[in-house]
Amino acid sequence: MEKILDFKIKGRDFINAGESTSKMKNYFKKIGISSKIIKRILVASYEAELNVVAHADSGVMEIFVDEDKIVVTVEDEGPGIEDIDRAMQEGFSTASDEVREMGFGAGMGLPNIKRNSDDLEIESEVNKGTRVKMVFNVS
Amino acid sequence: MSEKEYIHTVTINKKRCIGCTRCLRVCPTKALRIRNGKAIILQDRCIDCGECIRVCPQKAIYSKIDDLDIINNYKHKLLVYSSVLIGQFKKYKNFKKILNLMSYLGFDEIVGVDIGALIISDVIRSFLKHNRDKTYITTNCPAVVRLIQVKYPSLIDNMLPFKNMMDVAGEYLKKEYMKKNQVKEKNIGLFYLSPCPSKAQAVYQPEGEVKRIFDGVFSMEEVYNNLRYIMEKKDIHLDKDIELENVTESSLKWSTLGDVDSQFKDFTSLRIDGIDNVIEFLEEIEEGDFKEIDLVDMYSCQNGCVGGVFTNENPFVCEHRIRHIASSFPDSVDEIPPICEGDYCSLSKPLKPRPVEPIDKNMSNAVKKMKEIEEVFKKLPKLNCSICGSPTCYNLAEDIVLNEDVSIYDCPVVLRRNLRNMAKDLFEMAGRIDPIEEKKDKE
Repeated sequence: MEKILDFKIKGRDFINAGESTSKMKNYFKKIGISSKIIKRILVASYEAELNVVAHADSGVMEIFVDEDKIVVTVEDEGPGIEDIDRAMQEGFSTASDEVREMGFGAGMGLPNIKRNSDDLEIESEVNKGTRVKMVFNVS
Repeated sequence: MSEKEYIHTVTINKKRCIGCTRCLRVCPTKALRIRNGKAIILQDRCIDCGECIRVCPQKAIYSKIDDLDIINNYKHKLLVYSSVLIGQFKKYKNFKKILNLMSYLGFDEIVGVDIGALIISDVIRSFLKHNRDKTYITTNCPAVVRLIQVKYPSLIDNMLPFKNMMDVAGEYLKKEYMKKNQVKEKNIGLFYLSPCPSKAQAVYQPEGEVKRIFDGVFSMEEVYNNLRYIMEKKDIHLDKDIELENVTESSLKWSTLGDVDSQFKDFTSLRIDGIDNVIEFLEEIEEGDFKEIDLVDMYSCQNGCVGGVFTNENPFVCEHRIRHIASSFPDSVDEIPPICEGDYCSLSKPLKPRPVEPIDKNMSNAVKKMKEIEEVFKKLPKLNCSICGSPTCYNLAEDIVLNEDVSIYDCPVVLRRNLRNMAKDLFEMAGRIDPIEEKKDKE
């Protein structure tokens, strides 16, 4: 598995969340990934990034190439997810009012990530942090 | 990846080009390079927007299109003119006088592209009523269509599946003329009077069509010169009454100024003009839809088609004149001209993406090359001065890795740094005394 890109994520910085998206997009276009798969990777990664922005102080996103797969990991030192199964349900949200007022936190984040990735692993420990690993088949 | 050769009208006159790099810096798709002192066009990237023509101080870049006298090859000569033309004249604010003047050009029938706007707007309205799932993009500006094909292939499905207004106007004029005069298609020459190279290119190679609609295309510059010449003649009469039944204020404004709001009042629509603004918006749409926007009308040129490269009048003044002329027409017509015999508004075949080739077909090789490019890029000064002949330092890094003719020493900053280091070494080396001579001195 070879790392190709990495980004630091800053909590509560909604405006700059998404800058990584355009960098990833340009990179994927150049290495010849089809636009449909790029869109799925971007949607899932953006949601994962936003989860960090909305809940944690900081985090890291890393993108890897593994033969014919793209792997995106997003790791934070945030509050953690108490009940992952519940968080996977559409509409479930713990977002604060501040976050909801900005048009985020509708409870579609994790379901959206699941829908757009080919494989998803979530490890989380309350008060420690969360690690999301998304796998996309590109061939 | 392209299924057929890309035809371009944008051409470089090598005798005039001095390799000044001005064009490199404005090209939105980074399709230009200076090699051996002259500009060259990377064919798969060029979208014929004409920004390079606009800025070239040597007038070394031009658009290769038809001369007006080719109309004589046809028995029946029809012209669709970009309605931007009516804003080009100082003393002819009266629309009918301009049309009278144009009748001296030698065509049998002339219509403005606004007739296409009138017809297609109705078709688009009924389409949008049933399709509110995404932000749709108009096909009016061929440079935008090609930009999406080349750089934003994921947005192909956001394009309206309809012809642009100039093609609709052309189909309408031809069908009407054939019906009215009982003429066979092969005897008709259908021409377009274009405000820009991008639309001229679309005449030669219409996207989403199986065959050409127009038989030729002229630049507004050339026709303007001809009309000015005719105006100087003594025996012209400009007061003949001409019936204008299918002209409306909104179709005139939409076809010239991209005034999309006036045509689509029941929808949320935006006009976006200027290629940089278009690119910014496409990037954003690609990363997430603007669900509240139904329709975007995009134009490569600032101010829309009045800012076309072939126009000679200041676009703001031109816009003012057109608004003035348009206000004398009714807001709508009782009956939209019939869409006769079949559906000629839809594209004949779906638009296809034409993405620039990936840097390597094998993904792991491509990743390796991306690493190399990053390594080279780190060594470059990031001034984006273009003196090396590539538009930006990143483009130079790509060109070095992917093209064997290009070297890192093409960068003047790197070259100077290296020369300085070499000179330091030389100085130090030269300062050492030859050990053999030293021995001799001691003896």
